[in-house]
Amino acid sequence: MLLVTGKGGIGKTLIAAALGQQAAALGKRTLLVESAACDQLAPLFGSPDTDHVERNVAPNLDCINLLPPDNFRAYVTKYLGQRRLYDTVFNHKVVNSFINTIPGLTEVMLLGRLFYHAELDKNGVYDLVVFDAFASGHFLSLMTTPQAAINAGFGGPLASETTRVRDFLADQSKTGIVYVATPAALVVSETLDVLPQLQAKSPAKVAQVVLNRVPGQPHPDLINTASGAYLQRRFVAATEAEKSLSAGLVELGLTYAALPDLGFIDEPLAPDFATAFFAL
Amino acid sequence: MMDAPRSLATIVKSSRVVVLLGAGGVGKTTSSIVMALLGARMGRKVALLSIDPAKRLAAALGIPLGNQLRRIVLPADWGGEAGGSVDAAMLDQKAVFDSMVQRHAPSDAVAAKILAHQVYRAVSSNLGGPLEYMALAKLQELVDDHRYDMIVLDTPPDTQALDFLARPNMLAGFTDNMVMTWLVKPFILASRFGLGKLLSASEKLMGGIAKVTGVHALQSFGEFLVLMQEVIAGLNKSGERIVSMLHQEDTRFMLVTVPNAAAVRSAMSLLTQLEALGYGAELLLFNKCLPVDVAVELEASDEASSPELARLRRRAAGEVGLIAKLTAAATGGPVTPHLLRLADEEQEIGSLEALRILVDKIAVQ
Repeated sequence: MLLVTGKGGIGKTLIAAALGQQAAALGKRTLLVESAACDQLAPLFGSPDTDHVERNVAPNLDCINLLPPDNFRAYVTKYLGQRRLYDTVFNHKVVNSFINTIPGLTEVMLLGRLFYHAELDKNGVYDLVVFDAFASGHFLSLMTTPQAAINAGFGGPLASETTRVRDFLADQSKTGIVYVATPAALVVSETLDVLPQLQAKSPAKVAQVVLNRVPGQPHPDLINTASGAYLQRRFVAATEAEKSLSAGLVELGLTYAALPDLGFIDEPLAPDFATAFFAL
Repeated sequence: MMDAPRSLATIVKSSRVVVLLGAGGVGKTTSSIVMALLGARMGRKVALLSIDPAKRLAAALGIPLGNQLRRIVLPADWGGEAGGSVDAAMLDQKAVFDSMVQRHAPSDAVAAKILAHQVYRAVSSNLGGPLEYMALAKLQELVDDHRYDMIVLDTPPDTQALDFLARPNMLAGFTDNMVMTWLVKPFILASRFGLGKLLSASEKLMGGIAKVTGVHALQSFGEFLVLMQEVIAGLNKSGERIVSMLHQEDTRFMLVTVPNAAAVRSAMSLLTQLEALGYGAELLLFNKCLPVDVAVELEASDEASSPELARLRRRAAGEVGLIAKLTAAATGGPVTPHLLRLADEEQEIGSLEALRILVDKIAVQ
């Protein structure tokens, strides 16, 4: 499982989509997951609305936008195999409005559902689950929830299953974080601020840092035009930011992979988008 | 026929409350500061409530994190109409939450018990939590404060859903009285005598939940809810006042986005939710646009001589299309939006001087 995070607005969704498309092209059965108010992944594959169910968007590639109440039902019925309990207790309106307020429960259900698709589904698990996760601050709090739930005195199956989910997240042969940044000063400083916290507090560890939207140097002929001057200014600023990221990552024992600035992304993505993108 | 949008000066001078909405990473916090500074330049006494988890802006402006407003000292040559000022607070969720508990708890003893409770400590500082509600509760307080005639409210970076505008009674689920009287209280009473004695339907339901979560966590959360009951009721009441305040004509919404397909999709989703609640976006701000001179040059040239230029041209065309799309969608709503743009080079702010340049650029649009 890959968990894609980073500061807001730096292209996490595109990176998650490209990873999913590439894995599917290599023959892996892949599930692309998001949990958001509006679908952002499916439209990249020309499918505007997933209605919160698994939707096949390309060969080997499914997409889903997880909705918290569905996570709860799926967790109790499929994961814990307690359909009757769900129907008689959890489906009750008052119970529903109560459990939604129990701190940490929503997050545990979300992680439990990702674990289910990656490891448990009797009808066949996915070879790869790619989660287009929340922005870094919210993501860090999501990652600390399993341990917090265990510490908070949850018992019963929830405690034992959450322990299992935490161990799955912590198993670096199974789960990794893809941390996305861009070569901008503010983004780089936030990245260098968040990465050590993630490494210290999250059971899942950073598998790859991606520097997205790295601009190329404009052709010298352009330098006297407004466009060329603009591209040059961006190139200089980006080079500076990339240098400080590079230096900061060395201290953390991490490396990064650079991806080019594509300018404007046309939707839907071409079927070979990821192959071409990663080749650059 | 739609009305022409109001001018920016009219909007700034006539707004009591400006609420900024937008997805993460679109420059919302910066934009909220720019709006506040613009208000001050037009002679208004502005209170700015902002949320910047990265704390960089707070540092740049010399505002401590917390829930106390602090005057932003503007340089002598700042200009503008006399009497304008900005008092800003960078909200810290726990600090605001604590003050709400202290205000609404029935006694200091209960407040102290709540503040020390394990569940409270988990809820009150969790980033994914109720920051939106906190900001609104603070907003309510400021609307009653007549030292300010304009209040600018930034919303948290992860805001995707506008439930908090529909039900500003913080932690909406908690407030359901039925949950309290029917589910939680009998359970807390019964659990004092041991769960073997669970008899009523509600106790059986709680027993069912406990089959999944274990009893201990439920007990601890139940106790917390019982302690919080009066705090919740107090917040509920101010929630009703917030709804009526948001519906006043002089409360304005500003939608902030950037010109790429994903961000515009988020903005459309926010707009739909906003309009479903009966509000409209009076201001539409696109951050991180191509600089105007570049866009003009690209439009004048008829072919791209290099791959970089071809990419820029695609970006320019894409931006025009997306800006038109969102503007058209917003124009169909209750108000005609005033469109504002800032170029992407103007976003890196870290000083008052850099902010002044942004205010200058916005003021003339």
